[in-house]
Amino acid sequence: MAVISTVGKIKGYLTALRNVKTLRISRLFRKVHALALSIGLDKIGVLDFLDEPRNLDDVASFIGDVKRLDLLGELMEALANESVLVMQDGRYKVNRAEIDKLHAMRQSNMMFRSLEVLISGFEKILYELMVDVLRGAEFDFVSPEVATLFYIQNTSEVYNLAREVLLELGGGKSRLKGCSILDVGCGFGIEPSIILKFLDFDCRLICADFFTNVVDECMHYTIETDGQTKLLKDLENVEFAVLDPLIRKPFPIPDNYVDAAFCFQVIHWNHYPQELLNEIVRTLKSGGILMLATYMKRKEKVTVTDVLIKMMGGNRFYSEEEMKQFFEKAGLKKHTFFLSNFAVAIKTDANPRTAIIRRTSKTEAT
Amino acid sequence: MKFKVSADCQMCGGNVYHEVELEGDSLSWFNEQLEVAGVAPISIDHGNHVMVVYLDKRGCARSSYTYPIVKEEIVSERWTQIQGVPIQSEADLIFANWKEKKYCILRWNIDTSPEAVLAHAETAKVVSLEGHEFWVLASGDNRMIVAKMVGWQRNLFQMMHEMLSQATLVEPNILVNPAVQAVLASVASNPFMYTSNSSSIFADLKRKVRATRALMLLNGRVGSELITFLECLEHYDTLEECILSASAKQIALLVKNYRSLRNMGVIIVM
Ligand SMILES: C[S@@+](CC[C@H](N)C(=O)[O-])C[C@H]1O[C@@H](n2cnc3c(N)ncnc32)[C@H](O)[C@@H]1O
Ligand SMILES: [Zn+2]
Repeated sequence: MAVISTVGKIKGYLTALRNVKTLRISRLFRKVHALALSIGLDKIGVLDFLDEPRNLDDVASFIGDVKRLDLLGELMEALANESVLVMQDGRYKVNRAEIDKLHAMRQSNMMFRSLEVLISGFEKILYELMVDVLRGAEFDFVSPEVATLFYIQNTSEVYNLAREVLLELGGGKSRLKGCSILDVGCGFGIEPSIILKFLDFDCRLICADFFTNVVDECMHYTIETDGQTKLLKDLENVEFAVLDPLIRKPFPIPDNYVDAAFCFQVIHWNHYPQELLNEIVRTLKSGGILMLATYMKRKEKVTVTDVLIKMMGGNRFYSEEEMKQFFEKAGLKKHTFFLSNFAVAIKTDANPRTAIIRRTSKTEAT
Repeated sequence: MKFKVSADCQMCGGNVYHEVELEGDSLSWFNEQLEVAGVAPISIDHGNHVMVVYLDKRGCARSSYTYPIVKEEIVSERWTQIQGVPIQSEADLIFANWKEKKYCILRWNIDTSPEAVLAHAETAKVVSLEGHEFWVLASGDNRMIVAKMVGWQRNLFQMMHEMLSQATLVEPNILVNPAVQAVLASVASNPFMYTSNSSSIFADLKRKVRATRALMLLNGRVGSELITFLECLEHYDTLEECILSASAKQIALLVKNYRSLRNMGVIIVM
């Protein structure tokens, strides 16, 4: 596939994102997430409580009214894996030295600084959301806190770069110009604007998201074209669709309709990844291409990154092996994975058997 | 800097050609506008009307509009001034009801009497009187009259007109609605802040609006005046009441960001 030739370029892009060469990017992410979560725990007094060794039930009753003991357990274990907590004989104790190290990195490390919104978010208010989730709050919508976080974070340079990387992997301008593209989980508007600019506005774009407020904001996103400022909704080659977050209803898009689908940092939020992919594949034409970005884990073990996303109402991350299985089940037999973060797949079959929505249980387990 | 402008004038009928010289403040305003919007307006005096031409970065005319100008005095009819709630305005501004012949003054630091201007207010137009330029905006029986300030180009006329029309969809008689007046006054006070991404704020005025805890995430990312305003919402039963106690700058920031604040869930309408 032609995409292979762009890998060098992508590697170049990604190296530019690293500043501490010895730490792999995913490890750095985990450190940021470990810091965010420990700040959250600090805000509700749990860190001080853990100056003495405590077991899970102690922590649960300290927080009070915890309904998601499973998630609290995952949180403690994941933090222990990052050395923020030390576990001995089933009891956890805080490791202040490690936390101090993370706080120092917050000041000095570029990755930490680029995710400062998230870290300070936990300091300001997300710790309350975390407690809500532990007490059983369910999110089948984007909570205001998370929406606001997306709003701020999704304009970051790192995201912009990564979206371009994904477009390059999908064949770049030469393949995608003139195509119809479905942007699944388009967000508040920055992403569609990047796709449009990347392709010099030469494409038909369907901006789709799971929430009406997100789509409304996207419709009113302003963009410069032909020397004029326009709203996305006023562009003739741009359309919008609202998708069912529970994927009980098909996307409002015909079968075999688009040349390409773009799905960036979305699949780990949705609780029905298989159904989501099935729907994407249904709307793709035969020969159509899926460009997908999500962090793919080495092992299937729960990490701080998973816990963090769960605390914000999302689902979890998957290993490359799990993603491959999702793809295969959705009828995507031809696929390639890059740098644990990007996937590109071609729909070879005109009518994949899986192109119907099957409701299994929430894909929490594999 | 000299611009060669060739465009259609609806009132003269047909294509007209002008060379327009811009310098100093008006040139830098023009360039800024071009930077922001991709187009910028140039206005050309055609005697009894003004032609406004929007130029793009290459100096090509994108669109043109004409507004009638009334220069002579008209004998005024009988108008009654009513006292409204005091509302902050950084522009000289009157609201009036053409049918009822009533008006209220928000601010008027000009020698020309309001009634002299009102006499010309039967339709939307630009009125030049005693060395001042007044913008008459009209929607239904409502009139909003603003004294043009230095640096305002005629594209702001369009914008204010649009806001007034939006307001009258919700409030047919603006004269009796101080909150709507306050919103419009804030727009006239800070016209450059307005973006086309304005919103349903008029429809929500009578409703209870609350900030959510997501507001804390915006601390340090949007103007502190806006944060203070949003924090105060909880002390008021309706958005309208909170607006009536806010500054023009706060209201303008609110209007500008209203849609996004709602879409993010930073504010909720109960
Ligand atoms: C990190 S944003 C990425 C948005 C966009 N692709 C971008 O990069 O700007 C995640 C997207 O997933 C969607 N999302 C969040 N929670 C979801 C859920 N529980 N189910 C489905 N989609 C969800 C949101 O609407 C949001 O647009
Ligand atoms: Zn003319």
